Amino acid sequence: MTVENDSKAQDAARSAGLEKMAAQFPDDVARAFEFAKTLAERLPRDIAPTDEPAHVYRAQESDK
Amino acid sequence: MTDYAFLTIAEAANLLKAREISPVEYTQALLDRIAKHDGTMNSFLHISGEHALDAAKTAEAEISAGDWRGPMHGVPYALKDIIDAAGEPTTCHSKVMVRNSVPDTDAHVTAQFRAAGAVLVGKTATHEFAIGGPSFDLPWPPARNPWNPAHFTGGSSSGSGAALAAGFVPAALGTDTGGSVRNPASLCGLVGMKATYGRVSRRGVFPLSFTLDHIGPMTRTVEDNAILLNVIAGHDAQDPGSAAVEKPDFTERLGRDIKGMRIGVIRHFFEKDLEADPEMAKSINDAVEVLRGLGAEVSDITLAPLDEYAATNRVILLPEAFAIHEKWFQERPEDYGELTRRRVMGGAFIRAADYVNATRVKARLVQEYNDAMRDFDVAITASSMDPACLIEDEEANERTYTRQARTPFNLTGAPAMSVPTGFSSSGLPLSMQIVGKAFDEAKIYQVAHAYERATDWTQRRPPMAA
Repeated sequence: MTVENDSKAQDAARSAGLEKMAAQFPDDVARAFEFAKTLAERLPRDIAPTDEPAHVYRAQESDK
Repeated sequence: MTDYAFLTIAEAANLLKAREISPVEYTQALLDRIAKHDGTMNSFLHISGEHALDAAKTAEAEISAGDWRGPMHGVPYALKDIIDAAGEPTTCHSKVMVRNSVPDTDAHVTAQFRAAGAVLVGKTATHEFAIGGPSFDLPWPPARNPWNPAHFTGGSSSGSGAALAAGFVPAALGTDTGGSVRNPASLCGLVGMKATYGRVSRRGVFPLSFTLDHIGPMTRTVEDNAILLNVIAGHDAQDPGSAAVEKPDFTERLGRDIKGMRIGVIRHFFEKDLEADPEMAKSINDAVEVLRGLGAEVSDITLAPLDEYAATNRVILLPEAFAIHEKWFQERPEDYGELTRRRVMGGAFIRAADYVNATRVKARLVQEYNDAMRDFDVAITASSMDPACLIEDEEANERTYTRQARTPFNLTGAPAMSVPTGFSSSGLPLSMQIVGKAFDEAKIYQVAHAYERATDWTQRRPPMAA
């Protein structure tokens, strides 16, 4: 975690209303911020503009 | 003299119905066993002693009067402590919930157990809010593995896993958002089913992630698991995710042979995407050969890489979890354990577009899974990649936390069950997953039961049983 990223993490936490968290648990904030960043980078990006989100899953009886 | 500790539900039901054992004696025997051994296992957060004995007395009177309600009548069970039971505390294993935590209504699943005449003996340990653990900075210690108390139970339904393996109860419920029924089942030598999304109502269960949460039965045998799913499954109009589908008898296919059944092996999950521990991989491959020997037609099946499922699951799970905890995170972060803070807070930093895109990837993965399974009855893959690690080894817990192949089935909503496949050279349980098509749990039970009868893994007992 760089000083710059650490600062970004604290700013992001405060933006999310987590001022108390940022003040009391700066290490947790930094680790969560870094994890969220790397997690999002793992998401597939080959999504077509027309691809719909998943709605609440309803299996088709015909899939059996 | 009856050894109550390791009676199966099926055995107990026969004895209770024939009035050869008493629900009161059965319940008292298990309460005594819990009092004697749970100081080591930490499986229970709350014991419903008097309420349990009252329920057992009621069951005894009803059965004596000829009013036997079914196989759970007079049978003790436990609930993961994020599931409500009227008059009993729900703490979610958290300081956040310690006050004002006694609900006045049952969760839907608890009401189903009550209607079946079952006896709730207590609420079991969990990772804090079903995500933060194993942790030593919470109001209660984490549950320990009866096969070796120095080892982790798996989580987050950790106390339910410990209680079953220790012979404290024959039945327990867990919840499963990224594998939390199947992980403790895998690491404690149990059978744990995450049924199809919508099969079991989530009403009255503290949520972690609305679109990924499932409630699931945990037992020591496959037959018992099917019996439990018979009790808790069914449409609930008050749960918006509940599916209005026909509920079969999940025990119906038990005992049928599996000759000619088509079984896929999702091998790349545990040989390429992640490399399972050699003993774990061998036990899964040995299990596949057992199934082939029983007449199944086995071939490999390929899905998207495991990490695609894992990342998509997490990008959905964390913002949903953060939305639930946001207010408390803002106002009282010190009341959470460190692991919960770190894991859930990630949800605050996921961009809205990434969350939406994850749900779009999810739709694609659901379709891919349904297409791939079209030519198969069930599929086999790993559950955990490793046997249970030492519970106090933080590095090992962190490393093995993501070494699993359970999240794909939370994402697709498809049914998935962990089944014991043997033991490591150090005596710790090994496992596989049997997964299926949506709402086709009965075929998973059929295959699992055939495998269970061809082996003896579920008949073995942990050293503490003696």
